[in-house]
Parts: sequence; C-alpha cells; structure tokens
Amino acid sequence: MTRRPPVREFLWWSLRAHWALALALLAIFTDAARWALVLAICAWAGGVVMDRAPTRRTSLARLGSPVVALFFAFAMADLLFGSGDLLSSVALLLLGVQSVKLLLPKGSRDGWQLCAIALLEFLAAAAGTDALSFALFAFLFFVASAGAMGALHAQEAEEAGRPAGGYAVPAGTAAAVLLFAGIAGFLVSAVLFAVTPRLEFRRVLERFRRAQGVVGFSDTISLREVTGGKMDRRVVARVEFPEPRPGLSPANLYLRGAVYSRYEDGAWRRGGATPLPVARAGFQHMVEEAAFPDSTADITLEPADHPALFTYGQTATIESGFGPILSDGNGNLSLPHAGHPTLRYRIRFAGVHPPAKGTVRGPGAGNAVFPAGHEEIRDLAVKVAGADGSDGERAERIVRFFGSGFRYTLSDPAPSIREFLFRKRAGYCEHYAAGLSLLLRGAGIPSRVAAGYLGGEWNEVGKYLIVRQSDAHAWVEAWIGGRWVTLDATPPPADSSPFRTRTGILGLYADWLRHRWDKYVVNYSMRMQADAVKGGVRTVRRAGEAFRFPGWEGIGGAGRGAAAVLFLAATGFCMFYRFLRKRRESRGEGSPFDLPKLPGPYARLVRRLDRNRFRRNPGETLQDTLIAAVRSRPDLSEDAARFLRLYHRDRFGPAPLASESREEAFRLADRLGRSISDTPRHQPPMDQQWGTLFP
Amino acid sequence: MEGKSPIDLLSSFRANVGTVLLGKREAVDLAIASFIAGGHVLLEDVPGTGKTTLARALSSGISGTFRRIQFTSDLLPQDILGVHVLDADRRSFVFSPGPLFANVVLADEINRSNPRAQSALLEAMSERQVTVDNRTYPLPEPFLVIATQNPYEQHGTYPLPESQLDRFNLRLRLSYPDRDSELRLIRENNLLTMRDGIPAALRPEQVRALREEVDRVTVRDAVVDYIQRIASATRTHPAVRLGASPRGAIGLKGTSQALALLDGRDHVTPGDVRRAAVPVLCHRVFPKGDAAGSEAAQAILEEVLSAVPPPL
Repeated sequence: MTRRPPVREFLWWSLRAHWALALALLAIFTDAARWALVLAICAWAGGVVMDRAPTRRTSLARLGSPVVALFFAFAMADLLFGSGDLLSSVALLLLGVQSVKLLLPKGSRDGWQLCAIALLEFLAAAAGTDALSFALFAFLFFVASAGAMGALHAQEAEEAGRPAGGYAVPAGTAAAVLLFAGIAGFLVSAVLFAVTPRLEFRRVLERFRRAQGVVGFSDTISLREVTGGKMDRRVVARVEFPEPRPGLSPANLYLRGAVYSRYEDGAWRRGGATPLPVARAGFQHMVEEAAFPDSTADITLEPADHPALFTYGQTATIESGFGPILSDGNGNLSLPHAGHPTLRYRIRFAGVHPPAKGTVRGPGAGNAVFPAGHEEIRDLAVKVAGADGSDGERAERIVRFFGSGFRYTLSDPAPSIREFLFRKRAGYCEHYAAGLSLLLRGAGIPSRVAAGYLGGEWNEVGKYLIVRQSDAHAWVEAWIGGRWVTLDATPPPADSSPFRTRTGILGLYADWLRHRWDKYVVNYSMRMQADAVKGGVRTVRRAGEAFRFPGWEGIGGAGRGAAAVLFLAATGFCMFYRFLRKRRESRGEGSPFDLPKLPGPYARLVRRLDRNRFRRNPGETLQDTLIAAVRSRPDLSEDAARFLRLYHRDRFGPAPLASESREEAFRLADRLGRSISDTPRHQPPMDQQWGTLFP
Repeated sequence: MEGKSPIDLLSSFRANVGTVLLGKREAVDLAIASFIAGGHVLLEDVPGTGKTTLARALSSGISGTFRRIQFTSDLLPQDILGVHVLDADRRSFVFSPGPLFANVVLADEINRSNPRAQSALLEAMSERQVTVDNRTYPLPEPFLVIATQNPYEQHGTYPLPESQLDRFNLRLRLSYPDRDSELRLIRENNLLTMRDGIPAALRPEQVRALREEVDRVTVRDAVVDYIQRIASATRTHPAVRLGASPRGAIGLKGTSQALALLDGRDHVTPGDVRRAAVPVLCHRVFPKGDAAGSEAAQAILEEVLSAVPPPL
C-alpha cells in the first residue's frame, strides 16, 4: 500500500530541485532557525540516499505522521518561545511536511502537494524581498516548476494507466520555450520593478513580526537596555573596508548609531535639535565638511525598525542610493522614516585620531552642561581629574579611575549611576559610559554618550566585519583639543567572554554567501555596476600584460575578439546540445522495464528518425518508422530489412546477439541513420502537388 | 511431407490458403495465426466476400474432420452437440455426437440462431468439451470454431452477447478485394467454381506440434508490458464502456507469437503485437453510447495504439 510506485528519475530529481530551491529561498529571505534548515537538508539527503538504495519503505512509512507531529511541535515551540516569528514557524512546519512527502512519497499526488507547498513558500519568501531578487527567483522557480509539473503530469497519466504524453512536444522545443519564457519573464519583471518603486511587501509582513527595535537607538538610553541585546546573535550589519587606512583594525572600531547629550532623571537623551537634511550632490551626502577622511567602509545594514544610520569615527561623506539623510548637528544621522529594508551605503571617514587643524565648530553648548543635583559627582570629578594638566591629561586620569575597583557585570549591575560610582561599583558599558561622561562634564570637559557597536567578528572568507547585536556598546566622546575624542572606560571583554561570537568556517562561508547576495542581488546599484566593469577591465588588462604568448601580438584586436566570441558560442552550443541530449535520454524512450538501456547506436538512429520527423505518433515502433523513412530511399531498404532482423533479435530475441552480429547491427544503424539524416524530407511527386493546387 | 519441419509445413499451408483467397494476405495470416495459436475466429462482413471460402480453406488445409453448421433461428442445442439415442442392440442409450465433434467447425451465420443454440457453443469453445445430459464428452484436438456473421442484416438476428464474443480470439473483417484481385476473380471464376479443394498440408498431430512451437516463441517482459499497457489503455479510454479482458490480452500474446512464427522468427516484436491488436481486441472493446459499431471500436483501438509507446 505504501510501496513506492516506479517513478521516473527525472520527476523526483526535478521535485528535489524544486524543494531545495524553496529551501534556499527560505534560508535567504526569512529567519528560519538554522537547525531547522539543517534538519531539512538532512531529510533531503536522506531522501536521495533512500532513493538510491533499494530500501523497503513499509516500516519507515509509519514514521510519516510522527515526523509531521514532531515538526509541528518544533514550529509551535519556535513561535511561542523561540523566534516568535510567525513566518519562520510556518516555514518550519511546511518543511516538516515536505520532508515527509519527499522521504516517503506514495505517488504523484505527493508530488503535486510538494509543488503546492513549495509555491506557498515561494510566495511567502517573495513577499519579504525586493525587486531584483524577486524577479530572479521568479525565473528560477517557474522553470523548475514547469519541469516538475510536466513530469508530474506524465507520472499521473502513468499511474492512471492512461497513455502518457498527452501533448507531445519535442524536448528541444519545450526547453527552448521554457528558457525564452523564463528569460523574458525575468527581464520584464526586472524592468517593471526598476521603474516602479519597490513593492513594500515587507511592511505587511513586518506587522506579523515582533518589533525588531534595536536597543539604544531610541531617543533615550537608560541603564537597563543593553542586557537583552547582548544575548542576541542577530547580525546587524556587515562592513567591508575597500580602502582602509594602513594599520586600521576593524575589530576596534566604534560603529556609532546615536549620540546622547542630555542627562535627565537617570537617563541620557538626545539633544533637542530638529534634524535637518544634510547637503547632498547626487549620491554624495556631505555630513561633516571639516573631517579629513582617510578610510572607506561599505556598510550593509540589515532591516531594522529604527531610522538610525551607522557611521565610523568622523564621517565626511555618505554615498548611497537612498533619499535624504537627516542630521541633528550633534552626531546623530538618521533616515526620514523609521524602519528600512536592507541598506547599503559607503562612508568616508577619518580614523580614530584625525589631526585637528584650524578652527572648527565648538562642541555645542548642550554637551558641557552638568546636570543639576549631582554635586557629589562633580566633587568626585574634581578630585579624580585634579586641577593641573591639559584636558587630555585630566580625561586620561578620569578614564583610569574606572580601571581599578570597578567590576564589569551583566547579571548584578548597580541600579543607578550614583550607586555605580560610589557604592556598588559594578555595571556594564552603559554604567561606565554614563559615569565617565558625567565625571568629564563635572571636570569641565564637554562630553556625550554614544551608542552603537564595538568591533565585530572579522570574516576571513569574505574579508569583512560581521557586526552582531551582541556587539552593542555604549561609550563616550569627549571634546578635547578641538575635536571629539572617543573615550571608553569599559574594560575590554576577555576572549572567553560569552558575548564574543566565534563562527565556524562553514558558518563564515554561509554568511559570506548571504553577504554576496545582499550586495550583488538585493542592493545592486549603478555605481557597483560601474565598479565591476572597471575592475573587470583592469583585471583583464593586467592579465593581458602578465601572459604574453608568442605570436599573440600578430593577431589584431578584432581577430582576438572574434576568437573569443567563437569560443564562447561553441561552448554555449556544446552545453545546450548536451542538455538536449541528456533530456532526450532521460525521457527513456518508452523505457521498457526489463530491457537494458537502448544501446547508443540504436538510440542515435531513433533520434535521427525523430529529428527528421518520420515518427508520426508515439505509438509507432522503430520498424514502422524506419520503413516509412526508407520509402523514399529504395537503395536503403535492403540494409533496413537486415538491420531490423538483427535489431529485433537483439532486443526481443531469446538471447542478445553475438558480438560480431551486434557490431554489424550497430554499423547498419549508424549507416541508416546517417543516410536518413542526409535525405531531404520526402516530397510528394510533382503531379500530386499540382493535384492539390488545381483540384 | 514427413521430413518437413513444422515451419515448412506451415508456410506451405499458408501458401495453399493464399491461393484460394486472393488479395487477402493479411486476413489469411491472421486467421492462420489464430488457428495455430488455438483461438477461435469470427469472420464478419457482407455476403460474398469470401468468409465461407476462408473458413473452408482453413479447415480443408488440415487433414482432420470438418463440419459445417448452418445457424438458423430454429436450431436447437442438441442439433449442435449431439443427443443420446437408444441402441436397440445393447439396450442402452449411446451418445450420437453432433456436428461439433470435429477438428474444424464452421458455424455459418452464427447471429441468425437463437441464444440457446449460441450458448451451446459457449462451453464447447472455451472448455473444449461438451456436456449432454450430465455426461461430459471431450472434443477432438485440435478443435477450432470458425464462425461467420453478417453485421449489416439486422432483421431477425440475435447479436452475440459480450461473453460469447470474448470467447472468439479474433474477429476478422474481409473487406472487398482490391481491384487487381477482383479482376482476376471475375475472370477466372463462374458461379459453379469451388475453390475449396486445396491439398491438406497438416495432420492434427502436426497442428499440435505447431501449437507447442508457438508456445516456445520468446516474449520478452518488455513486450508483455506493452501488451498489458495496450489492454489497460482500452479500459481507461474515455469513450469506452467496457474494455479488453485479460483473456483478450492473453489472446493478443498468443496471436503475436503465432504471427512471429509465421514470419519465421522465434521472438515476438512490438510490430507483431501491433499487427494483432486490432483484430484481437476490436470485438472486446465496447464503446459508449450510440457509437456501438465496430468502426468506433476500431477507431478507439487505433487511437490507443498510436498513443501507447512500444518498447524500443
């Protein structure tokens, strides 16, 4: 009852591709848990292995429903206690059902269900993405679906006992139509999406999700907001450094997202200035004219709910494809609206110690105000900083003050700044930052609290920095010597810190793939196209200089170009031909179940007959077709008769032919096939043509 | 004649029959194939196309006994099977065999008789035995029924029921001869010409040997699969009320084997199956609705054959 019916290889491979594609979509566009994907991939591999091995499925079939139940439980648990993300939970459940279907298919009905589920997944994933990737995946998906559907149709017909192949379309034509339809669909949708604003499906989906608000980027920052964030391993940003200053260490860079300059009621607040759009020229946003940038960073921000833009050090310009950037003049950069999809922009920034030249704007009055009612802190500040020395030296002393007697803890922090400074002396980065900033102000040095991320994990595979939510940090910027200097009193986390993420090499590769995807598919821009072309031309030129073949110089540029085009065309043609051949072979040509595979020469003859359209319907035997083919070539009829005798004996006789007879049959098949290919399609004699013209 | 192999005997038999029935080579081949495969033959066509001639030629080709039963509306079963009569000398009833006890029985115009007489043929055809008054008598071996019917004269006929049709292995339609054959027929014959007198080429035991030979013809699994696919395709065809029976599929295999033997081969090719499919399955496929004619069944079969891919 659960015995698996004989299923065409192609069908199940096609379905598997279908399924894997849906899986990839899920992996890329939704945040399904990793282990769920791993489980699903294992199920996939299991399906493949079981398909290869002649395993009995009766006992395993019983596993079917428990597995569904298991996945259902996983999905519910994930929804309630895990990610809390409806989409990923549903995806999990679907994956479970799919895996069962794939492991224990009972016929074409399972295939159809698999297709339907994959389509649902695709829609769910497509809703969360944007234009170009949507178009690309639409193309891939529909090509795969069409193949699967065709195979399923044939399979269903086979199961129902109907003659298969209701619509007999030559494989080549079908492939060509599919390819053209897919490419045309891709181009049309790409153009459509490019000229219309992005479809904001994501907005709709976000409603189902729990708020993604990243801690510390609201208008206030209190002492209780970092702890939750430190446990979160979600990636916030990926940063590349195309042109770094020599000696730049990405792991020590402070990625700033917000700056707070007012201290009120135990919490730091942003300065009240109204954010104004920064000046821009084309894609360039001039953030800070006074800075002297020496490094470049390409920042890819993951989708977020808050409007903050992240920058390093002193950022001179931001190069981006999106609209206006608002600045409140105090270091806070943001988008006009809260919430954004994946963003990519390039910043030019000055490193940690830019030289101060000329007169620059002052620190801003708000950054020097010492909050009223904290006189003991001011006393402490004066005591710690001392009266002599420059601002820098005094700030140094204050920072050093935190180096002894203070304890970094996430589990048992002081409830307030006063507690932290005077009694408990235990806290985390926000305590340190708030305390340091207050002390600096108490000592008369203007300062402000900055929040963002410190460093991140360096991905050696793709040479970029992975910044995670667990890298969230708060620090202090002090106005010393006419510029903002980053000061951090928080002790650096030890290597054994649980908040330092170490990803395995496979994880690094996976992340790198995702980064490439974000970079080249989701956020591909004109500028990157230009960069790519420039880079490509440069590489080719360099390669050309490196390899000089003797005699190469003699061939002109046009000749070289023609050779390249010819080579490419030939390669493409070969691949296409192989594809067609493979397809035709995989169709099996009637696939009798006990006969060995049709030997090559026979198969070639069949193909040649088919190509010359001698086969009028799928029910024709080779004998009929061959006789029809040699009707216009009487000289071949003797060969044909002899060949048919040998062929029939070989394929249907009591025993296969002896080798020399077989050789002869092959030779005859070859000769016949070649002669038939050379023969023009049989034309009716002249008088018959006249007959149809003049009835 | 003794030294000849069964195959040679068969070809001379075939040649003999061919001389009687001009231009009907395919029909003759199929009839002989069914004959040596052990299947009964139903000949169907308008009068005067040679149905009886073929039947007589087939029967006289073997040196066994031949009987002819003309079916009429008042024919009774005992007229066919035989009766027990009182033997005055031995003071007991002895069986007096009817015309069915022969190697070849020609049942002429079978649809003219009433269902009782028709069903009397039923047991004989499939069981190869006859039961009269609770006593069973085996029929001679080989035993072959060749029935003829005229499908166009429906007045006063009893069409054969499906069950009885299924017992015929083959239904042949002898259409009009082609122009050349007909010219020759007209030229050479008058109303008194009898063309039955062909020399007997086969003895009953040789027919039995031939049947064993037919059984030995190889049918690969792929061909069996092809036969099965054809049979099941007739059952699922949308225009069919009742498709081919498993008996039909068995008959198709046997006839294909015999055709292969006729061609001097020891293996069945898909071509043999295609050749035999229409005559063997045509009368076992019953189309839906009004299109109950044999033309409709034939069209359905041809559609099935053109759609079911043969093994290559």
